[in-house]
Amino acid sequence: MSENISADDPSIRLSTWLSAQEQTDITVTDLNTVSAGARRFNALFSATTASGTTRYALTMIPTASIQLLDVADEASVRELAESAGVPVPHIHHVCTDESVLGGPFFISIAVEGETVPRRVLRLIEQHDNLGSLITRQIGTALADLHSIPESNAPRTLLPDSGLGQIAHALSQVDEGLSELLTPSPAFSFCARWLERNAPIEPAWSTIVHSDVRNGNIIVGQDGLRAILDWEGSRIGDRMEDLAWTTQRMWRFREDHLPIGGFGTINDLRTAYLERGGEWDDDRFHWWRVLLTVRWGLGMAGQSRSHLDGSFVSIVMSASARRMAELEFDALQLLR
Amino acid sequence: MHQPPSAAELLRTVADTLNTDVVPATTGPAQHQARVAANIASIVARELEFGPEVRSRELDLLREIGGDAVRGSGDLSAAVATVLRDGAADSNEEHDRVRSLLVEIVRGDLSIAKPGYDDWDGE
Repeated sequence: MSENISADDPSIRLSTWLSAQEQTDITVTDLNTVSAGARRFNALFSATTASGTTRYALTMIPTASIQLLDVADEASVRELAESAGVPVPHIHHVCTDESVLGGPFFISIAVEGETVPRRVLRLIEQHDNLGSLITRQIGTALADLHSIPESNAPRTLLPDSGLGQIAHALSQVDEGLSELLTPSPAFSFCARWLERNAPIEPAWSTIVHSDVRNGNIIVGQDGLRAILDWEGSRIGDRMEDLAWTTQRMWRFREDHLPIGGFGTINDLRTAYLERGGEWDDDRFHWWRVLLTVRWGLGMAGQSRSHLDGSFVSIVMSASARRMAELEFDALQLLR
Repeated sequence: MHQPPSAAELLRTVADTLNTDVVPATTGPAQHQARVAANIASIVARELEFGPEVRSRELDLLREIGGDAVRGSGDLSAAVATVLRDGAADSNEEHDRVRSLLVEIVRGDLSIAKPGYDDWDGE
């Protein structure tokens, strides 16, 4: 976990860049990788000035071509969310100059707490009502996020399909089915149900985070401290954001508590409504099914990327063997 | 014909070696990959042992789902997927009947890919 960033002396480059930005001497130390995925690189570091030392988080996109949302847009979404009251680590700097660290990056304040799902669940086990509190705080945070007028969002967040949220999601399911290398009767059954039970398009769209779950939150004994990983933000249906929090995969087998293995849908809904959000049970359920199917089809897609050589990886190779988990979950949601 | 151990037994040994010796001796991405490799070896071992039985049961269930509409079809999975996508299970009774049979098919796949995952009854 303490593997250092793989550029030549990035601490020095970062010290030089930060000193120039803030026009004061800043020394970067303890630069340690937290996670290094295909799409992003996360590290923590200390920055020391004459007045003291502060911990920061660095997020870098190693290859600009595969980013979902460019760093400037991601930063502006996070700033919008923060100003609406959503707990987000405050961003101090955005740098689109790739020559500094080898890719665009931003620097935000480091928030202490647990992020690893099993450690999150262990902390919650040790404190009465903490799971319920965090669930309600997620409901409140999402109501705040969804209250931001769509017109304030960066234009790049808009879908390019020209379809409504529901129609677009349905077309993606059929596209995913057609790309399967062997058919899935289970997902074909679900696709028909989704089509026949499709809700009307939401009356208005909002910014959705699209990946709020156990694993993308920082929590402590006092509750939710921050929502992380905003790279998937886009314009969408607010009920999609809420439905994603209930995916069985993020519960780590704590199936009696659908929200991340620590909370109830009732707590999520109550907090969302109390904060002024508008909740729709039917659309919520529909999105739960759709997202489960979509994730399962995505698993099969990962294995195809391995097979066709576009992303060779032992993890991706086995993804399609996981599709049955999502087929099972989707069918159970359709009881 | 090879002397034992069987292919499945050899894969179990691969998985055990990865889990017992390689995972504790590695860190970071290499450790994660060793875990994934062990899991894949275990899946394939189960597939070698139970695959034929699971597949045979799947074909029976597909015939039961599709009935006359898929009789004589060369690719039963494809035929059943097509009739279901086209609405063969739209009525409430058919939805319940077909859904239960599909769950049984998926339970077969899970017995190979992730034993124990099918212990959830929904909400």
